Amino acid sequence: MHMGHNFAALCTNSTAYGWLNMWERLLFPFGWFSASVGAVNDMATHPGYYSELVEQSLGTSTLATDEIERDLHRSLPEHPAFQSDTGISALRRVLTAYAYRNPKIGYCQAMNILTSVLLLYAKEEEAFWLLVAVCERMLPDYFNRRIIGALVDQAVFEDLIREHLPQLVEHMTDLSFFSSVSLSWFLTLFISVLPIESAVNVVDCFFYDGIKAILQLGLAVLDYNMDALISCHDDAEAVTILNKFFDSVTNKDSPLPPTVQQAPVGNNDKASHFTVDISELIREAYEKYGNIRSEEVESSRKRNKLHVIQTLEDTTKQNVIRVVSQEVRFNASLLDELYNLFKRQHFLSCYWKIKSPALLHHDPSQAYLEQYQLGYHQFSLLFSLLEPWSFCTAKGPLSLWIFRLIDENQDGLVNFKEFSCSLDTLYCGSFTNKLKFLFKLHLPPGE
Amino acid sequence: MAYAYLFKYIIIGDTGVGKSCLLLQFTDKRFQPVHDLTIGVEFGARMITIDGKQIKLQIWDTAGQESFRSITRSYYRGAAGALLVYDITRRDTFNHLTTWLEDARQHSNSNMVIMLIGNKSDLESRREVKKEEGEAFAREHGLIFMETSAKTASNVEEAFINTAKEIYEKIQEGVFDINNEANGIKIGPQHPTTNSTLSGSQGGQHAGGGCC
Repeated sequence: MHMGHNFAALCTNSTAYGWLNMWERLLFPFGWFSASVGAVNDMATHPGYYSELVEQSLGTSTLATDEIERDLHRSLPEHPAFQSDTGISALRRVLTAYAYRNPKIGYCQAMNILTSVLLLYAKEEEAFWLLVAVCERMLPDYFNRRIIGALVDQAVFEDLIREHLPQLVEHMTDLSFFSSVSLSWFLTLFISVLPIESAVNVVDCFFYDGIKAILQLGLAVLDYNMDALISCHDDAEAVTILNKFFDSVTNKDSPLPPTVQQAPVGNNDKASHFTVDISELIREAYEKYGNIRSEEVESSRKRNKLHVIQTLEDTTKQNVIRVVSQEVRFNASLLDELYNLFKRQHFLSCYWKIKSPALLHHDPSQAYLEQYQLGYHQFSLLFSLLEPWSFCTAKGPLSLWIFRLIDENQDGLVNFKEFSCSLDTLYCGSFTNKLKFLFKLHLPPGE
Repeated sequence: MAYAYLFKYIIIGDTGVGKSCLLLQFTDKRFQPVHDLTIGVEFGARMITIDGKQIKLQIWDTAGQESFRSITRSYYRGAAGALLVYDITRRDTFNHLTTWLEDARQHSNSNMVIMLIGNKSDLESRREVKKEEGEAFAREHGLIFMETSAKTASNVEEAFINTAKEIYEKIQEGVFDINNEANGIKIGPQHPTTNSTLSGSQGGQHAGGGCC
């Protein structure tokens, strides 16, 4: 037997019983772990790796571990396995070890929910390798600091809605509603919206068919609620309809007692409502939308990815320009050009020098202004092209002094605001301000 | 239930500051120390009365982790009010306010009313951010400010209702174009009768209960 030795013991009797039956019910007789060939191989070729990681990572304190700690009690909180220290500790170990293994991802919310479900049905080490398979292969780029993979799949989902549910498109002028409401469907494989005993069936399909299973189920859910969705007046109403629907999903094959079910908020009027069985819903998803091919999904991902990243970059730019425009006299289009030059300079330095200070500090999750910064070398290259005295022969020391002056926190990097403010003074400042600026340049550092 | 106006709110702020708990306390009048993490968005609604008028608050609760910013952004559009929440026991959540505010100002309509909330005021012994600092930040950026406790319900009603009052006043002053739903304000399906009850209309609903 592959799964759940450790967890079966710490769950209540009824849960352990539920687990055994679940085991028979699973699509895969040996559970999720065996279904993921990659995870099996990874574990076999890395004996002892997980326990070493756990040893190295436990007790470390990073932003990721802080966030993990905060979310441990917000991961399937209704499930008895995560009401005891045993379950919480296992969750902590897996998430911390993962963040340690892959600092590029670190920890992203939703990983806690996935991991807690994995822990219910696999041994701890297996759950870890399954998490590796999910984060690094099955849901590529999902859990990085801008959840780009999930945003891309939302766009893919929108494309599929357009293709398969034209009636809905006719009614909804703005499809972005569906992409934002479906975010949790993708990031948590429906675990955060469906009752847990039904959600595990979805996870089964995911390990068998990958993201295609989630996409086709998403379409089936919308299709099932088509009439109600078409007649609703605003987003809130549509969310209500979908929440009610998810709450009404049952799993007749599951022996889990209702107390163990992770009751989503607001399931108060269940009795007055219809129910739908998860296996029926999944069957419908496969029958109606099973013809979606993985290659199509892949090419749609490629199509949408550039657009998603461009949109994020544009947002950053607009934000920075809005903030900086309040400080300088340059007009918006000039600032726009200046920003592009600045960002290009940042990337040029990344391209040519792996260890440039700007690259080492590059972190897309930082405040907008801090995302792109220049070290002295890149700064002087760009500044020498833009400064008003570009034909002056003795300008070398000037750019160094300017850099020193505007790098207020003295971390060796200047951001776009500091950069444009100095140019603004030199080009648009009053005579007195220019003079002041030049005077300050000549003060020795620290004065 | 007929309402004179519907106001859309958005709740924003770092992860773990108590956004969902504030919403739950306001809509259901209860505190749930252990609850699911918010992934993406959730919403709740409640009726309040201002100036004898029934006003429905439709409140969108967002995920706080940095990674989810791009999702949160799409909810600023069409919000009349925002509750910007920090945790008085965690200095970093206060330090991040500027970024949140930048995002809010960038993506919302310029008239959006923003209420700054220092939550967890019941944890006085663990306080890291002084009340005066919150007040100063609010003053500097033109926000309304309150310290609340979603646990003891202290000031929670006031926070949501005062925001609504401010929006209502702006409507009276003609600042909001109420015919443009992008402003987060909707006129009710029918005008309320003048003798409608002023109290006893505080029925709450949370994330999908009841109809809209």
